[in-house]
Amino acid sequence: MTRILAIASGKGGVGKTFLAATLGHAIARRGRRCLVFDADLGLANLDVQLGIDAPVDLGRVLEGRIPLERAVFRHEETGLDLVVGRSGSGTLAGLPPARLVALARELHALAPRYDVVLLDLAAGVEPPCRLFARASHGVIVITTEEPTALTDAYAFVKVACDRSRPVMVVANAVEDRVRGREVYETLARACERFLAFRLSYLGAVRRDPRVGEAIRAQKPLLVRHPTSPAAADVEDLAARLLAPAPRG
Amino acid sequence: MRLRVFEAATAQEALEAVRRVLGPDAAILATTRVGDRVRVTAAVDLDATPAEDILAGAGSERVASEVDACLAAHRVLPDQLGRLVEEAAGSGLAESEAALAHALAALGGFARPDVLHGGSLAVVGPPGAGKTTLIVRLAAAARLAGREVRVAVDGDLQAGARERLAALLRPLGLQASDGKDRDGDGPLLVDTVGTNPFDARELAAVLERVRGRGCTPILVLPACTDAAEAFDAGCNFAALGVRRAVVTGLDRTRRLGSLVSLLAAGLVLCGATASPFLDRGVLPLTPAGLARMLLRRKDRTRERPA
Ligand SMILES: Nc1ncnc2c1ncn2[C@@H]1O[C@H](COP(=O)(O)OP(=O)(O)OP(=O)(O)O)[C@@H](O)[C@H]1O
Ligand SMILES: [Mg+2]
Repeated sequence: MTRILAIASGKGGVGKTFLAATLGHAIARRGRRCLVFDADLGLANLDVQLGIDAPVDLGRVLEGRIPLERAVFRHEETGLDLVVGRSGSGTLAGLPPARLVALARELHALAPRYDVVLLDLAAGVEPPCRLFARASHGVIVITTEEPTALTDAYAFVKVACDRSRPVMVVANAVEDRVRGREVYETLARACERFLAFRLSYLGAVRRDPRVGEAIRAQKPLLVRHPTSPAAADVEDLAARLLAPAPRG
Repeated sequence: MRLRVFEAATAQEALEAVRRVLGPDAAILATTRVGDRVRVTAAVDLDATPAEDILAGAGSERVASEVDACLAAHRVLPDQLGRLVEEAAGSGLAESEAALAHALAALGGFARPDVLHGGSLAVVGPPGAGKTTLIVRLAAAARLAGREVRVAVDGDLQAGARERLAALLRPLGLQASDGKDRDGDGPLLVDTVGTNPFDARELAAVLERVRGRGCTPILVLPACTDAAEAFDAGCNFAALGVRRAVVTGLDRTRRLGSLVSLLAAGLVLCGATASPFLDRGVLPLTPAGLARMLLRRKDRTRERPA
């Protein structure tokens, strides 16, 4: 069963792209077929983080020149299939809704070829973000402990998430796992109290200077620093995500 | 959500600060120790989040996907589907029906069936489109309203067709003339032999004859015509100056892509027939009415006969 999971944060710069690339990599290392889709067209940087010269990008799909399928390419180093945006080409927000709907539909047609499809969403709660969030089977909300990140993560859950589907939290750049759970619980309490909606906890990724170092070197973290704490944490997230759902 | 962090020497003091700043509805989200102080994270959710912007935007997504799904179910041609979805989503209207009506009005023209009454006209279109019964409907409506009409035939109706027309007109006290138009009062309604929409010569000839008799040609097409065929046929008639169209058999059609095709071909929809009973006349088609039918019929496309 394919799962399309949108990675969202509300606030910018909290680690969506890092998580999409690294979690995708960890999933691929576990032998699953995984597609990472850059749904942050205007400020696309999935390719920049991984140091890829993409042979093709979403721009041509949105111009209607090629089907989405042909914008997919294989990234050998990680074993991921990727669809990258085109940085500086204007944002998804400027596209007519009909094109977005068509794109989401094409994505659904492509999804059955994969075990997991990860969407790296843009920051904010603009209509394109919400459309992709609703076109997904679940949402991974990533936040740091900063009040701004928590507030924006809450806003995203409130206005963008289909609350009949799972919303999982990743606490990023935290001191340790205890702090990670506290960050989750803070957000979860707000959602329970104000939205009567339960979030679930996927896990934490510790603050780790090697994340920034790998990004600057344009190398996948799991290749550059496979034994770093952040790498271990993302491996744990992948294991939890792929674990069969507990039977009740 | 308004989230604030409070630090104080004791939990008691921190909570008091929470109430003071955020009010009695504040939710305590977290309480932690920081050194020898207590840190409380609390929030209130003012529903004054950018709700209006959000609703406006969310509406257009929902409208786009709803309109898209319905038009696809009606086999509307991809080009027209794209145009309508864009126009509907960009209308700023949050209701799909209103947004689609707006888009349909932007796509093509609609006129009330009144334009079919009063002047001389000729029905043209492929064989079996419902031309003869439309003539009878129009004649019946005129007679019921106490107006005079004359009915005539262009070309050689197939064997039996003339008898059928005569039988249908008899209760109305009318007869169809063929050769010369009989003198008399009232507008002339001309029935024609079926024309192949893709035979340009035949089409031009029939249009020339009926125009020579002072009649405005009206394209008659079954609603159940395939959308692509309807578009091509509509374009061919429109290219020869035909402006108006009536669709027939709406009651026995589930997929209405042909109506959208006619609008896109540049024809003005002047009404539809939707009942086997000839005294029911021609029903008006409006952007709102067509939008409603397109949106409603989505789930009925596979309905089986009872
Ligand atoms: N666990 C971590 N430890 C340390 N630094 C981190 C961690 N996660 C992310 N970062 C830093 O945060 C920066 C932003 O990350 P990233 O580009 O993935 O965020 P984003 O949410 O995709 O941003 P945008 O909203 O602009 O798309 C990175 O350059 C990285 O250095
Ligand atoms: Mg990013």
